[in-house]
Amino acid sequence: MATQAQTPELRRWWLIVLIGRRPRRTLARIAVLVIVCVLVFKFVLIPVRIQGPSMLPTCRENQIHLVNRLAYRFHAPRRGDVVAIQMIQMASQHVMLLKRIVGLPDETVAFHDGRLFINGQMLDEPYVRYSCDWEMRPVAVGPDWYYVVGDNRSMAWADHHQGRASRERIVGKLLL
Amino acid sequence: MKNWLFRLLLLGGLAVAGIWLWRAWFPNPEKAIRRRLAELAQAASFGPNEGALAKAINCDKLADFFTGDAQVKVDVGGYAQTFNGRESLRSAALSARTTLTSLKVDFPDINITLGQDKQSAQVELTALGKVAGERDPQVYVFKFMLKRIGGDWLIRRAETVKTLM
Repeated sequence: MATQAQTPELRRWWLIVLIGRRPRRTLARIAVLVIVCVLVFKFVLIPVRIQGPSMLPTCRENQIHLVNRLAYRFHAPRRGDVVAIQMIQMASQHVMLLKRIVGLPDETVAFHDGRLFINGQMLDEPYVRYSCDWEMRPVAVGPDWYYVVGDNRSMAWADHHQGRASRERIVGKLLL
Repeated sequence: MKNWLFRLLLLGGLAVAGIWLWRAWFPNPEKAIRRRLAELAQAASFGPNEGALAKAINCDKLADFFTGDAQVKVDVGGYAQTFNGRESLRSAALSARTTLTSLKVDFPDINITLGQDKQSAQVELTALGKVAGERDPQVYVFKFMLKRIGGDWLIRRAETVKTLM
């Protein structure tokens, strides 16, 4: 008898836990939450899954990161920023490159004995853990272009995507 | 009143069906190109258990996506080669099928620019290739020039594009 009396009470309690005392308000909250999530994760913070070893050890395989699309709304990209780069120019993409900005507009970038030189000066790169013997003659970075490279310098030169990317191709900054 | 509503609903249903049929029979060029590229990705992919006859048939099928005088320029990771014509492409596809155990090709991002005559188009796409035994997929950007010939969109020219200069 006691259990029969408790059953409707228990059901009511569960309903309150699941949908709250005011279901209409709960529905409105869910709708707002869904809209906010869609807007944020489509237009502001893009979730990306890392594939490939070119950004090791900063970004590891299968890690999920967020790319902030608004990062460069008020200032230009800076040296050392890890950025997502469009592979082809279109509004939204499934595949993007993830690289670190090392060269800024109107600078020259070179590699000698695996070390990076900007305008002839060696750049201190604390994020690089794996040494290499890359050699590259000085390359001029044009105005509104940036030189990007991955952190994993132990990769073969031919297998490592690196080079100049135009400003319009930079989607946003990686939030670590 | 009910009869009137029924007729209106029937008319609406017929209109929707008519539009659907029209679009199925006469798809807009962009949709047709996307469908064609999906078929190309499928034709370029192969599994580990493909027999000799299936290999030959599938290579023929792949070559049929290109015009007779098609030119394909590949320049990736220090490897550069140009393939001219269907026969050369067929041989390359057969060679890839002999060398690799399996390959899964996918075009996740496709950007289509139609020509003014709607009979030609330029397509920029990201090609994702997963090779059996390799942990990371190969990613390349391709530029295709397509032409509509006999109702089919055929590739006249294809070349790899470097994202970073």
